[in-house]
Amino acid sequence: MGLANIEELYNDCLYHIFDFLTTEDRIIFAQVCHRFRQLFINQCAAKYRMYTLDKDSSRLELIQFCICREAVECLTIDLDHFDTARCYRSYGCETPENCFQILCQTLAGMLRLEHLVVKQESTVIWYTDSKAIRSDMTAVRQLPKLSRIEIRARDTSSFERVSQLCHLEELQILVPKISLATLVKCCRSSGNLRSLHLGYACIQKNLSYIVPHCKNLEVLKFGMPANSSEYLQLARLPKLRQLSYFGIRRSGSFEPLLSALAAKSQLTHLSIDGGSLTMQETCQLVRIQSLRHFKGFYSTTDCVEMLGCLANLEELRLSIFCPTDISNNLLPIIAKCKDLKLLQIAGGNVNTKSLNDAISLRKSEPVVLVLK
Amino acid sequence: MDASNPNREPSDASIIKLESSDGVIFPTQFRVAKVSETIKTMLAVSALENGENPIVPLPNVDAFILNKILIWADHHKNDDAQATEGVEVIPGSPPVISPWDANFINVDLPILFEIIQAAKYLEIKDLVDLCCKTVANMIRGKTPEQISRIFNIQRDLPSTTSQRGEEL
Repeated sequence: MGLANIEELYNDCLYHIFDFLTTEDRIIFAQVCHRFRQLFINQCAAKYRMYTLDKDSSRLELIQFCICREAVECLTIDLDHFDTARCYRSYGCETPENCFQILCQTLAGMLRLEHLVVKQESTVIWYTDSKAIRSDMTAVRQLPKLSRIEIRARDTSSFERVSQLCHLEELQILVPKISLATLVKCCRSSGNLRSLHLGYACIQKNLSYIVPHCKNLEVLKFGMPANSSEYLQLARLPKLRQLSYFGIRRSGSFEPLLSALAAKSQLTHLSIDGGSLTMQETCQLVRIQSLRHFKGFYSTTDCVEMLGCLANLEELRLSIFCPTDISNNLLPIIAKCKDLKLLQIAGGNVNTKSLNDAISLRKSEPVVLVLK
Repeated sequence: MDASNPNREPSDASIIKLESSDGVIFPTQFRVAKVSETIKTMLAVSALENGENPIVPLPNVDAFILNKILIWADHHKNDDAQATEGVEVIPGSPPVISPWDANFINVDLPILFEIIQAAKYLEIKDLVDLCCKTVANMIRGKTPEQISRIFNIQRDLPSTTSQRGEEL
């Protein structure tokens, strides 16, 4: 007579019992046996699949998060909230240092983790900065699925350990400075790196050194004030399809790189976000016939007109810095780029009506015109 | 059967027959039996197929448990569904159980678990709630060790995993 044990109850009955427990009691319940723990995880895991650890993470939530660690797929850690210095607690550091140790152990158990973001952007100087990121990277280096890492920090002189990760496919490093040796090692150990995003000037020179180790790199975003010789070799990356540059650069500095890219003509996306393109640069640019998406700055009208030579263009985003009407200069682009789907113009003077008239005359794809 | 009743529901006073898994027939007022959504649905279906005075077989519930459940149902047959649904569970405070219910549910654990399972099958929400609240009250405020002792559960988690939560 009767069921011998609570464990014989069906899951839906156990969930019903769960409904009458407080979070604290549920956590205790999850520690009783494997099945209860699994029930707990089934109930809470969805919440932690994509999770951000920050100042709002309460102690109870952290405990639940630790229990559900195997379900975590995407994690953002805000390091500003981990610190020993009690005097800083008033700044919102509610996640004490000893939690950090546990977090690191927990990180090592996040077998499904695919995407990790480590942020540390506060302007207050913490003591644990570099130690913290180093511990993070040690903890995650065995994780089989971890393929995307983003690091945003002010000071990370010590995250060499990123280079111990070898499954990386996407890496974003937004820090003021990293050593070239670390970056090269990183590229070498993650042979499948497809996407690399470097913060402005975090590498000051010799970026070309990564080229031999990035055989599978398809997407690259970087920016540096140096001469083009420091990054010219990037054009030789065998699989590079999307290149973005951002930040300050010298006028005309891109000509050699564009010329080298034109020689290979395999790039499909190019964005030069910073510095108006000169006539010489544009001459090389329009030779990259593989280009489908282009974004750039112009301060002269005749260069704009030349972009009509990019026969395969699908999306064109221009920022214009000249007071004259450029509508007539855009007409050749609308007429000649048969696959054009999007034309976005920021700044500058355009006659919307004449552009729309030109668009309506096209036999091919309609173009979406966006004016900012 | 009343033709004006579109749901073909028997009248409250009419007697229906419930058959337990071990073959015992319980003649029961419809007013009592209808606390179970499952029985209500089965009656609606069998009324369409077999006409008057059907026997409702309940193969998942034995006579002892069915008897127990019918005692509870008889006591609660006049409950206002609205009134019970309106009661919110306040997090942190123990669920409220009436003295009659508390006395009713003061049974050995194996019986309690079987009532939960049967009430779930019969879709008697208030009875499921009562049983689950009772179990929840036994868990409340205890340590994992105490819980495993109360319910006689083998602790099969590695000690590091079970303790990790407490360290925080």
